Amino acid sequence: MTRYEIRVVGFGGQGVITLSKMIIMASSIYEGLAATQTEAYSAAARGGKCWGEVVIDLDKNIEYIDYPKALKPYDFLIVLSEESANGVKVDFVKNEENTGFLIWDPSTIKKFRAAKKINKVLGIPIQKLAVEKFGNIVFGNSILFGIFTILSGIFSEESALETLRKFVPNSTLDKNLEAFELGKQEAMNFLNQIKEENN
Amino acid sequence: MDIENSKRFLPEGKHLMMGNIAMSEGAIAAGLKFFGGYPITPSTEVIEHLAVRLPQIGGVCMQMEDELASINAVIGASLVGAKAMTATSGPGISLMTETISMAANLEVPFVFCDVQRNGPGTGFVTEPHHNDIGLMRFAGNGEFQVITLAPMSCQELYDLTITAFNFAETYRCPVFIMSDAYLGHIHEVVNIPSKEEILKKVIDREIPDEITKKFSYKDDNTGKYIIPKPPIMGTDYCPTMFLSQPHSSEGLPTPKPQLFTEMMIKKITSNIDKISLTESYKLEDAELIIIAYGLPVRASYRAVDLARKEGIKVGIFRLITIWPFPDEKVKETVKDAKAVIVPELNYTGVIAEQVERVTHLSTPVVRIPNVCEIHHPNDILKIIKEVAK
Amino acid sequence: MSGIGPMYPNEKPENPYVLVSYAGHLLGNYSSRLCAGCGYGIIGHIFTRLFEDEKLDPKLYPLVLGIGCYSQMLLTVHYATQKVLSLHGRAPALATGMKMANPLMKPIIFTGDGDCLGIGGNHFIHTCRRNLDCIILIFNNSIYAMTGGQGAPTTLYGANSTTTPYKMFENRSDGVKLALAAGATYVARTTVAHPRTFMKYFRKALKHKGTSVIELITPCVTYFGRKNLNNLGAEHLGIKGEKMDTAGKMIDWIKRNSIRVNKAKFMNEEELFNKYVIGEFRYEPNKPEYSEEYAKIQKIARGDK
Repeated sequence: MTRYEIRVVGFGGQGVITLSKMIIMASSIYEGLAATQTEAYSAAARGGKCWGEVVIDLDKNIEYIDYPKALKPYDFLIVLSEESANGVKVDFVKNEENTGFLIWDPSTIKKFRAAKKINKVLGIPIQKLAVEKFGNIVFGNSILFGIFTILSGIFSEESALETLRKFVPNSTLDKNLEAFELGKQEAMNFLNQIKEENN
Repeated sequence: MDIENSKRFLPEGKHLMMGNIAMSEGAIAAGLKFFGGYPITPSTEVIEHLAVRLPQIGGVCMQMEDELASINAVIGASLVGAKAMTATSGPGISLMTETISMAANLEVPFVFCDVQRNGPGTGFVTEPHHNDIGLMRFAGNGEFQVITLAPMSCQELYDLTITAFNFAETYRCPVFIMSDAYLGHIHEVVNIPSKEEILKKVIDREIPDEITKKFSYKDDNTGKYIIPKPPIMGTDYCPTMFLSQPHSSEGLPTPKPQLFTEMMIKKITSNIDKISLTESYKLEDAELIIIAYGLPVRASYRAVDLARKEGIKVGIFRLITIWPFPDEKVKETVKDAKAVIVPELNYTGVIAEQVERVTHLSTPVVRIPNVCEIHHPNDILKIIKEVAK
Repeated sequence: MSGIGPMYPNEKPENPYVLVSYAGHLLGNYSSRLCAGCGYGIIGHIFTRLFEDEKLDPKLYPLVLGIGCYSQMLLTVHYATQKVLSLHGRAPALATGMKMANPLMKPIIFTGDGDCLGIGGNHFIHTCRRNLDCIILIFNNSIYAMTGGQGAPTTLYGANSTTTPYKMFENRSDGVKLALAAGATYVARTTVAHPRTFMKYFRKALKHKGTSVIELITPCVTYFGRKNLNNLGAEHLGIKGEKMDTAGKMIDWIKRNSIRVNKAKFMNEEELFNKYVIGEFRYEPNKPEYSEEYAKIQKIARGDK
């Protein structure tokens, strides 16, 4: 199977759905891969537990995704709220080479038990960084998008930047690009760290 | 006021779209001028999107006071020559059946998008459940034939909506687009063709002439059913009254209701070759045949690929047009099959029943019922293996 | 004269308004299936007469009918009108779609009391609320006549009907008050006993841009008059009643029961009990009309200034 399963969970307003839309746009429109995105609906999207899922088929010959929901174990799991972190179990994330990432936010999640047992875990205080460095939590999205671009390697950086330009209003583009860069750096450091550990 | 073409068509190329939006854009491309709707989960995005888009092109999007008013306003708009549609979900279509029946009688063309959700009653409103499929066939009191199309992706929601409008204009009957909570909310890439290509496909509401004063009738000499172009109220070419009783081709009450009923059904079923859209996949040597429509088709394709790798001869017969049910085509397809597998997003297996009817129960029909849960390719593969044994 | 010949000896087929009626045009005669004493003959005739005299363009004034005895007026209205016999209660909704798809039109809606205030109450309220440019004629015979005399939302207190065999005990629905509250911009009520007033109101409604609601009190001898006494609404005065089994008695009763709005101002609720207040209640020609407002929205959406 060449499916790449991505799930983003958090609470409404964090940009969970926007992030999933950015991921699918970069991979399907700019990279030409088959992909579907699904998202939490109605009240959840506005305040409760909110999620967005993307399934991408890495095989370029595939025209559409056979099963549009993301399936466990995920290739990429992003957890942004305490409530959703509690539900996460160790086997939610793939334990394979080059895939199976868990990204979580220590500034919104106090305790994340499962995170300790998962191999490729990156805890990064996205919300705190976004507010302190850029002044608004919405920039957390661009940080995460930067991280995702580097770690997943599904789409090129050009595709990612093109997507960012489409999603972000012109007035905040510079700040978002900065945030994207920050995420990229974090991800690269993380990859190096993994490499060192393996060596 | 005519529709402005400058903003009607989205730029050619790839667009990332939600299913409901793809459907709305398809409708706009097809020349939609009037939308009457009432917000109901999970079809709300349609009215939200059209409230933005339709005024831009000189169309009208109205949020009516209830579903009954929506569908009646749609019929009113269609009577005066606007391409019109509504979108709703299970409880909405239940309310609208009265008017659908009237529209079928008056032969008013309109398109109806049913974004199905779980039922009965209120149900789980964001879960997919193909439980209105029977309602879409028998949509209202009286006997009449409708057309129902079942897309399986955002791209098809766009394309088939254009087809649906063309069917409505040609056959003057209610045309349903069968979507569901899942399909309506999926985001996928939609390839929008060029403006010229779309305009080549679209059948416009034609300028009426003398014959449009007439309703459909049977030509006594040839025995064929003649469907004139839809009349437009407010022009000279319109019957003096629209009377939703069994009527003659002139619109006056007819003393022969049976002939009228026959005409209502036959005008569609006699054109079944043109209406019935189907797709075949690896059917040439298939011993097992999957008959599927809508979302489960996606999983079926993968399941068939996997099963073929294991040497099981299985193929897919996909129904794009569900109603009228293509009796002859299905009969022809399954006549040599060992068994038929029908994965459906409902418990009863409405299409499985139709297959049983067509084959006179001579071929075993295996249902894969799934409620509020999409079929996974492995579910279907498991059944294929079991049946193949 | 061609066709089936005169059905009513007293009818004068040479009457020009009869000849332009649909039945007259079709059959050469004024034929209708209405009961003796029904008020719809008068209404149909007035409508045809106005349509002819005002030289209304049938393409711009489509006729939308609900379901009720008045659907029979299909035969007695002007032959050139383009008519839709819509569903029970849904006529205003259908007319909304027509008006919005072709804003040059001004639909004329025929509805009854059960049709408009019963099953179609919601559509009526919201059409008035939008101030959609149309004319709603409510024919109030205070009974469901086509189905055989069942109680209606407008049936008077104490009246007898097949579903209120002991007496009507429900509160009465008032189409005019409802229209006023919902926001219709021209509201009037009159009776078939005042045909000239109706013509005046109707002419005014034709010129008015916005929702015009005209309620017409009309007699139903067969199902209402025959079963009720003409002291309805005046029992407390000790008047002895007699059955209203002829058109004359019903017209008399309607006239006696109708109070002009100027006079009604000085009467208390008890005195107005079971009475019909007639006259013009509201005329606001300058209120924004829905299709015009929507055209402005279209302009904004297009980005035109």
